[in-house]
Amino acid sequence: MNHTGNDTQSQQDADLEAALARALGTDADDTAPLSRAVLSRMVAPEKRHRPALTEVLTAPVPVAGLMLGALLIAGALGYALVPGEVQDLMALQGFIGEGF
Amino acid sequence: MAALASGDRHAMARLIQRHGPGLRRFLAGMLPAAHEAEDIAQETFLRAWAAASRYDPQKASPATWLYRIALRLAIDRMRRARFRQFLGLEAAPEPVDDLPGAEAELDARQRLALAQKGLAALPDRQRQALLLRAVAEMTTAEIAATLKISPGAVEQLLVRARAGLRTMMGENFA
Repeated sequence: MNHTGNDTQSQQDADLEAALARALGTDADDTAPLSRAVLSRMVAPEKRHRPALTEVLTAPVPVAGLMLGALLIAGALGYALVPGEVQDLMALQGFIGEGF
Repeated sequence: MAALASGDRHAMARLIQRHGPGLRRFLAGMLPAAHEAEDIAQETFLRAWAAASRYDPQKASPATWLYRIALRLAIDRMRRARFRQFLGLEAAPEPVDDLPGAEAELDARQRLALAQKGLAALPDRQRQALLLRAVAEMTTAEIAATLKISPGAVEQLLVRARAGLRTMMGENFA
């Protein structure tokens, strides 16, 4: 009895899956266009193209990483250069006096 | 696969003939826009061609390997599409083109739209497992290898996915 129930369930599952497969591609069995497209793309070398703005925006992590890196380098450089700048200013102030 | 790795284009044609139909159906269930599914199907075979020398038969069957490539590409495409929609750069995808056609074609389109609507309502893992079973005709072990989960987890996903799809589709889908 239980065995029959399992068989029925299996058959229902198989029917559902078959209906799903049918619905998802009535023309999927015709692989000729896919073959032609793939084989022609294999022959022709892929052209490297500059990514469009939308592509850049949809992959923001690498771009944001680059920007952050550049920002950190700029910050570090600025921080390293500031003491020298201050010393120069103090030397100038000593040379021309405070009243200037 | 060895012939593919040695650059045999006939081997690629045979691979497409064997796995192309299932892969196209799988991607049609994963991606709502038909042109995207076709594009990813092409990209999958091109990636397989480029990476054939690195294929290890000890690790995966050709089908598992191929569907894993397709799955990664489809997930990546969906993420990009969602981000574009979030930014407002892309409208939400239309499930099917609304072009006039013969009655049979219209019926096929309606069934496709219905299937995609039902699948879209399922959680990602359930949808992937059900598609691999239904259209790629994979065994539980093969699905487990493709999704990198245990066979027991695959069975659970399949039971839930079927139940979810039946609830969504009712008697319209059989």
